[in-house]
Amino acid sequence: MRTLVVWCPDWPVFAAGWEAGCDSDAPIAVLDKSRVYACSRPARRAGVKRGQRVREAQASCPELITIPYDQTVDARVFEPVIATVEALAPGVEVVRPGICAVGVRGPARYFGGEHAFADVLHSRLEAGGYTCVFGVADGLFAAEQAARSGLADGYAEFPAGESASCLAPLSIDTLERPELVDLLRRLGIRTLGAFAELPRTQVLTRFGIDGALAHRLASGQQDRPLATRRPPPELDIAVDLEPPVERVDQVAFAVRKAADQLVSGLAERDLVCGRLRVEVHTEDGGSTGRAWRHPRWFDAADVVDRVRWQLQGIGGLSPVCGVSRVRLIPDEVNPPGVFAEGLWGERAPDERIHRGLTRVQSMLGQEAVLTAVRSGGRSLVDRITLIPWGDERVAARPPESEGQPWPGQLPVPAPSVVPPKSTPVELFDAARRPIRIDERGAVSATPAVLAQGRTGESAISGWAGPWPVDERWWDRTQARSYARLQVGCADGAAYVLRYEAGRWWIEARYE
Amino acid sequence: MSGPGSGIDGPTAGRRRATLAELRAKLSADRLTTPFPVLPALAELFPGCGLRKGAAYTVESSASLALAMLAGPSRAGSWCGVVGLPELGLEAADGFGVELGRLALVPSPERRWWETVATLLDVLDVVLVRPPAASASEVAAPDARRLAARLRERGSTLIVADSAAATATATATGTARSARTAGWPGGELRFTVTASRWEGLGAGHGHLAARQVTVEASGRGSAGRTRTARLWLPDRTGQLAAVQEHPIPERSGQERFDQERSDAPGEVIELATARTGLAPARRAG
Repeated sequence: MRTLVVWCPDWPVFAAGWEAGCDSDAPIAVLDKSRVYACSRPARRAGVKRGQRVREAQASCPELITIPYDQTVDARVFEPVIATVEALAPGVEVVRPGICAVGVRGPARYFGGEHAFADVLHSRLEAGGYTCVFGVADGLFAAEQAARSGLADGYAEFPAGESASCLAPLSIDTLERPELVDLLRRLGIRTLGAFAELPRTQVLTRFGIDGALAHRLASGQQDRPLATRRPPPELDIAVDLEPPVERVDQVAFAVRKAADQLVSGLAERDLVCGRLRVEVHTEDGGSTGRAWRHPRWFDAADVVDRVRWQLQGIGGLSPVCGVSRVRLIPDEVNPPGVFAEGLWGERAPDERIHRGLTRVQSMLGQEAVLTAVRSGGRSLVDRITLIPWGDERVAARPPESEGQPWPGQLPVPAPSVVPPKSTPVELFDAARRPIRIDERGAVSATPAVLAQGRTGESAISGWAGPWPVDERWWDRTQARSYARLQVGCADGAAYVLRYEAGRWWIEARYE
Repeated sequence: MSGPGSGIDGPTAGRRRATLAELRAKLSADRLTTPFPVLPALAELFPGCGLRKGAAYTVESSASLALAMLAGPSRAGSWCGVVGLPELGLEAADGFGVELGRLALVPSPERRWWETVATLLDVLDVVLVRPPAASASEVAAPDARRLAARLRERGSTLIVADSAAATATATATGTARSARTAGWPGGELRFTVTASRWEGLGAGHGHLAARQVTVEASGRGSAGRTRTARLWLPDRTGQLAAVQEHPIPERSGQERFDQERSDAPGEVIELATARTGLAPARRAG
């Protein structure tokens, strides 16, 4: 069956750059597990290669823009491409984000030839800002190889029935089966044509079913018909506000009906939404989008709350530009039975508790109700991450795990009072001289008196330290260097003191 | 009641006693009166060996003690809340045993303290708060009574974290009613830390390891009796523990060896001396 493959080269880079709003000719590298996963052409010219470590890549190209790899971004940015192709020819197979295939016999008859069809697609996709290459051949594998060979022209075609001869000169690496390819290379077979010349039954006995399948592909025979996808139902709902609205509560009111429609539309299909994306388009053409998670699932009131919080979180709307459009996109939908277990591996909170806490949130603001998660760090404030209720409980830095404690942390037991802002104090020795800590981390004299501004002075009965901490010394903006001291006073109080920039502060109290 | 059978040994009295016993048994099985469990070291401070549902407690000037009181219900599966305490050390809370996954925090309720606490008491089991006034005893009685009615209706518990400085200034200026009624109005018990001693700090070495405290519980809930307990708050592992009153004294190695030898069966020693022909060893101790 004649197949047309639409290939967008370097798709991860394109999608990441599109999402981050980068220039198309900027050097971009997409990182996966701190190695380069894909890079753009300017980056490749500067010497960045796939599989390099981040530091090596940055050494070859200092202006490199690094973006972490996110599969959902890939899929999301590719959706409009699939929609464009689907509008012209039904029955699209998405091989992976960046490559999709469509049967070309019908559209070729309609548009007057395969090349004409490809031209129409090209102009449509170009208008959307996507660069694509097209390849036409019998079968998916051959069409993919045709597309890759046509990178320079943007279109390549293997004539009908001649797939075998067109595939023959290609290298055997295109099979993308590393073990089989390695074996064949050692046997001296380096091209698809050489592999195709081997007798089929012997390939089956020697290399197994996978080898036989590869053999069929190399001979230009089709492996299977296209696995087309049914276009998913339109679950997004958009609210156009004409004239643009500036006040947050008016926007929230306008969105209420759409939220009801969204939830009931999902309920009709027996689905509930666990993650929602809210896009707000303003009058001047800008748009901001944010994804919201929910411990259980969204109902209409929750959706309106999220829209309101997002508008408030943008920093309030400037009086000049109002909101012209709000789009609600359910990112993650599941049948309700999935939530029986609980979303993050622990029992999902009671419906009643969640309603009570969201009621407090609607009274005081989303950031007013928090939950805590242990995270890693040296300073006492870093060791707990506070997350607004309803958001995913993720620590800012990974907490200590078995055998990997955070160095420089204070010993157990932890202090029970950690003020968000440290209070300044003075520390004196027996002769009323202020105590200093020198560059080597040594204390200038034995501490004897702790003087707090309002509560007076207390005599020190025991002390320990100083324990120096030097964080992120390589980053001038985030570097922190201080030393900590534990003191116990004669009246039974105990404190953790911090010496930073020549002054003493109380970091925590043991109460 | 007067009548022929109403004496202390009559049949009516017997029936009355039986009915009373039956009702008492039913009451004790009633879910609403089983208290929230507390850590075993704290149990002796409570008359009912737990946090009574529908009651309010005051903890004076000790954040650790307040956290330790939350740990019992939290470990047993209850959801807890904290209102108005932005400086609470949550790592210490985790050390005492409070489940951070079942803890909701509202650090600054600003001007809507009463509504926030009322809403949280509706859904959570135990709520720890800082009083909206300068000290717990200055809270208006009608407001406290309304909250108490809600507490009783929902079966939740309120713990008020008072600060010693506030109570001291209040009693000094005479605004508190009296030392006896200091604390949350209508509160069941008031906990104070009367003595505390830290261990582990030397002169430039060591670290704060453990603290021994004496905790006093007084108030109308204890029927006029003040209970005290000596506790490790916290102990070397960061948890709450009771101080062992009579620890087993450490014996030296020689003493233990002699003890073991004297416990050995008599024939073995006789056999050994018979073989070697030496004089039998003098038994130690």
